[in-house]
Amino acid sequence: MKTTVELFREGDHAWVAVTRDPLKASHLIDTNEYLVTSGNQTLITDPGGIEIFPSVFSAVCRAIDPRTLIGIFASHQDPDIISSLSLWLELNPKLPLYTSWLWSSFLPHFGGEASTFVSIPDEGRDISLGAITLRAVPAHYLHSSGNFHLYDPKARLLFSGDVGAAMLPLDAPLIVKDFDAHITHAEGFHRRWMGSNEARRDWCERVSKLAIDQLCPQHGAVYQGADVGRFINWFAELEVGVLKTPEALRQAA
Amino acid sequence: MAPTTHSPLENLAELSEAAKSVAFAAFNLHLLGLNARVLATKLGDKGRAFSVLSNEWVVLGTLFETSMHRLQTLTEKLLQGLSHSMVRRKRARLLRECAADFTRLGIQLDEEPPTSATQVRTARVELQSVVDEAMRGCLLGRVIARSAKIEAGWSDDSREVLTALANDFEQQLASILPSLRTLDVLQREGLT
Repeated sequence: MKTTVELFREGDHAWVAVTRDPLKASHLIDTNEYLVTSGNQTLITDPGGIEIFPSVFSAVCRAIDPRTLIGIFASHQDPDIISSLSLWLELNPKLPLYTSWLWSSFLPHFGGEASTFVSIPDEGRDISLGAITLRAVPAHYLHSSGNFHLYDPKARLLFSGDVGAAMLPLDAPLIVKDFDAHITHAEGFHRRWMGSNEARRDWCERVSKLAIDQLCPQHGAVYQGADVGRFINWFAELEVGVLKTPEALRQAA
Repeated sequence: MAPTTHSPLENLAELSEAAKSVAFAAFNLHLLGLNARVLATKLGDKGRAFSVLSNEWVVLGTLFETSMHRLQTLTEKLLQGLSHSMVRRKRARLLRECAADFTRLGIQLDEEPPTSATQVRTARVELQSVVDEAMRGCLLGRVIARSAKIEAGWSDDSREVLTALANDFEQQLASILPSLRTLDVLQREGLT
């Protein structure tokens, strides 16, 4: 079963990571889900695929009353992000899914009614949750063509989807402790998966203007404090997306 | 409460919350028992009878905590087992819609693996036994609380504090019962 780690709490405003399942099958990529709570309302980010639903749901039940879930945020359309949609709708058929408008006719293949999908326009949008307002921040082409991250200005925390992801051993700690050692597990992934240098520059500029204490990716580990800036600077310098030869692809993988 | 009108996942969520609430109350009961024992020790000879009761109180609190630990483990087992089962049933429902094509191709659709169903059944039986044990504990606790109140009435200088302690104990027990009933009903009717 997955474990839960509280990343932020101020009164009834909290971020909890659902992470690291020691029993997970090795052929499934490890994922981090995040629960954002304000008052008696909770939003879950990228709740994962069908195969890991029992493990995620069980951990969610431990951390919160799952009946307080009032919405799902999907950074993009991948199966490890949201293929469990129809199962979450069993808990509450009226749960809205906030996601890029680009996927509003693709994601219904995972389940849901027309009313389930709340489209986010390309420029992003605010999402109200209890007493706070979250911001869906554009991250298009990183890696998906319709891609959003979720920023909480009060907690100074950015859920960064696949940006910042690292392919780590299962027993790796959730928080990055040694940036230089950690980033070696992230480099190949970013070079191969992030599709556009222009999009990367655009994202780095955008997020460097935000006050961020924690950068929380969907795979790997959480960057805290000075490591947030280190990551943004590292990513700003990284050449991505243009891997011309099969040899270069193999090296980057 | 009518669990059968909810989806299995809603009932699981309710079960998990009831288990959490009982575990929290059990922890408080244990603390109250320890408080009562300290107070009885302070009273010395005057609190001898109360001391006997407070010891029973602590034993009951410890038993409750152990039971509730088991209850949480079982709840997690059930959450895992039943949500796995739900995923499989959902797949089976979709596959049944094209059962004719599968049959034509000579492919047999798998039923839910019997091991998973057995695990869930076993966890439910164990859960029922923990709930029954906790309910019996509540009855015993109420008897102890009443005896403690009577004993507090005999105490000259500590009547108020002992009565308050016995009342707190009784209230904690009373707060457990509705959650135990919820667990009982959900276990019997809502987890299929």
